[in-house]
Amino acid sequence: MRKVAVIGAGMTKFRHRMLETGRELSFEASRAALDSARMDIKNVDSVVLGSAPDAFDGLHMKGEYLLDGAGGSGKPYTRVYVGGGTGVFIPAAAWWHVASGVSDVVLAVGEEKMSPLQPHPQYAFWSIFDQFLERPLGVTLLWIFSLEMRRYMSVYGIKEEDIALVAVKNKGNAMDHPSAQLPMRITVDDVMKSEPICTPVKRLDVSPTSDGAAALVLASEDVARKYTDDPVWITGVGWNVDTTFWTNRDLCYPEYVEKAAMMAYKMAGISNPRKEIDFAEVYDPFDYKELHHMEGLQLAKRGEAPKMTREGITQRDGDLPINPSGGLLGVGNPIAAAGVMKVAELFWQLRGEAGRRQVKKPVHRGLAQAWGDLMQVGTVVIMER
Amino acid sequence: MEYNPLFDGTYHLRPWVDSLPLEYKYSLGVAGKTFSEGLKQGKILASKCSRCNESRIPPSIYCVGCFGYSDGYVQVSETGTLYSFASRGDVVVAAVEFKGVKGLLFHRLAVSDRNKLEIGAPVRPVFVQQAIRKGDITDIDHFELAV
Amino acid sequence: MGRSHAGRNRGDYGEVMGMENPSEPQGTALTPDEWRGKEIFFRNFHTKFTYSWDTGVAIGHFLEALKAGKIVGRSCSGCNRVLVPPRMFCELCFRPTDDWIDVLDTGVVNTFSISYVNNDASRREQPLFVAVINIDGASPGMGFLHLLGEVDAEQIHVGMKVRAKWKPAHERTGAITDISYFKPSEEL
Repeated sequence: MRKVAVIGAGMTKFRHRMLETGRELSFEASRAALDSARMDIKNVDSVVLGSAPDAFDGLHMKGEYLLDGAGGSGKPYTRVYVGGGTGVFIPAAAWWHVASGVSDVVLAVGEEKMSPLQPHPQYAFWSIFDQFLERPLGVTLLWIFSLEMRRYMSVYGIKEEDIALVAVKNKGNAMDHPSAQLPMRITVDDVMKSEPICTPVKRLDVSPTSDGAAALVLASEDVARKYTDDPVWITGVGWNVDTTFWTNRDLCYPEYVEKAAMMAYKMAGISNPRKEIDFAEVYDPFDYKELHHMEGLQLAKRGEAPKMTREGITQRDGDLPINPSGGLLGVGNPIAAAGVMKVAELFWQLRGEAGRRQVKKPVHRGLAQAWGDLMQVGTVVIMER
Repeated sequence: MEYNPLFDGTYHLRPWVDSLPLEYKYSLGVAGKTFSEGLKQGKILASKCSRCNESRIPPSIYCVGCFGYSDGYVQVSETGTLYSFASRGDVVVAAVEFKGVKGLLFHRLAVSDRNKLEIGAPVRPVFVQQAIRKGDITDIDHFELAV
Repeated sequence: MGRSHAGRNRGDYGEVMGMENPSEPQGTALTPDEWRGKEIFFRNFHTKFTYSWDTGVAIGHFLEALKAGKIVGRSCSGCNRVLVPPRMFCELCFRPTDDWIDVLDTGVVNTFSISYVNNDASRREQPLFVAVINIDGASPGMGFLHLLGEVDAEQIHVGMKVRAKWKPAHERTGAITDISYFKPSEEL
């Protein structure tokens, strides 16, 4: 396998509703990524794009709809999809294009425009549930996260206040992100007093719905060295999907995230992730998910991620900064774009270009992770400089 | 695979019917909004790229050719030409091209004498009255032959 | 093209180190007023997709059993599990499952939530109690999503023993809703 570098990254603002069409958002992010790589579309061999459920836009063949805006017309072009896990799967798929020798330069684009569906984007998720056993009960996506959060709290004896600390941290971190949709200085009390949605999930435990796009430029080693003295390498990728019978799994622990992480750790030669990963962008559509995923990623022992959070270890100036970007809770959650944003944050942090968001300790190796479908997929990318 | 008749011995497959009503509200986008505002003023706007020396309809904020930002908008010529057409009953639909502009505009074509229909014939848009224009493609009521 | 983009095309990359990325992220947020008011920016579209699905072998059986007032699973002799909801193949052993098994209509609350929202995110007037219920007689951890009833919000807990509240036989149609909800099976 060939070495694969990331040499550029770009993104739009993330906002609840935007004027730009999905194509226009894709273009803005792609153009910014190419500019930062000092490249033009003619340098790009192939394009990988990801976008989550077609139901948000009501456009089937959404990959084809977005094609021009992602710079893919007339090129080998692939749309990938693993629900919420898509964002981190996009660079993984782009990686195999380069690692295999199929392409030297790949543009990797994540786009989401959730706002078109009325009265609320949440309604799109109706169509992902089992039509015989679950839809007749009036199921919503919020139910299943609430059920998972409750199970996690119940098995390990975790309090809602401990989980709220994640929302406080991430929304606070987002104060320093130029694209952020929901930067906020809030307290645990604010989270606890926010409107209940599906207990134990409250309004401030949840990331917003968003429009936005983000993009990366991946290149082979020889090309990367021509364009930059400072490439960041993708040294591990992993993905894993568990059964769709989500009510047959123990919801307190994401085994599929562990398996995806192990695949990536093996590739990157990592045996002790807690010591060898300097910082991580962990998928946080809900605050408890950050903790859940830290445990699946072996960055915390089972049930102990809340303790690390309480002790400040996951703050930007802590020993293991988690979501220095502000995450989905703070920057926003245009699904596929949000995952790419996390990988872009690794790129910027590793190059020391994160400005006010730059973590305090020197960082050489970071991990980004996403999660999705019916709480069943884990996607992981490890990057080093 | 064996499956046993169950309970009353009359197990049968059956359909399960459900529906998914969906409602969307689409933003026209940056270029779409400008195009729409142009229609209200009785103009058909194309985006232009000075690097590629190209104009396109429908307009776009980026150039599909070089993937750079478009430089602005230009009004297409008053008269276009018939690129292709199709008819069904009284309705004739036309794909219209404009000189120096890439891309086609689809619309209805009003024509009194079908014998005059030919590829390359000059056509022009007929806009509805300004007061009732909505910034929609239907602000052009139809195209007509410009001969 | 609300801004001057001419200078944004190629050539002017600026200093890399010490910068804060993303720099000047693009995108135009719509205000709530713009979203509500200026129709010119939007096009509305309404559709309704109607589907007719074959319930299939496993779920077809399961639904027929519900109509008869029973919950059924499938056994797999490969991993010795009783699977609920039933499937005709075992996803772990990747082989056909073996037999239909009658399981009980009682179970244990694996996890629960009190939902204040509908599936379009609108608020409910009355909250709904939802739970994953592990079914007695099936393998550990085998359960499905359902509702809870005849219980106060404060009484619901993980580990609570429950029993299916069936609709009267003549009202059952062979649907998951043939069970109205699960209710506590022991005094709370």
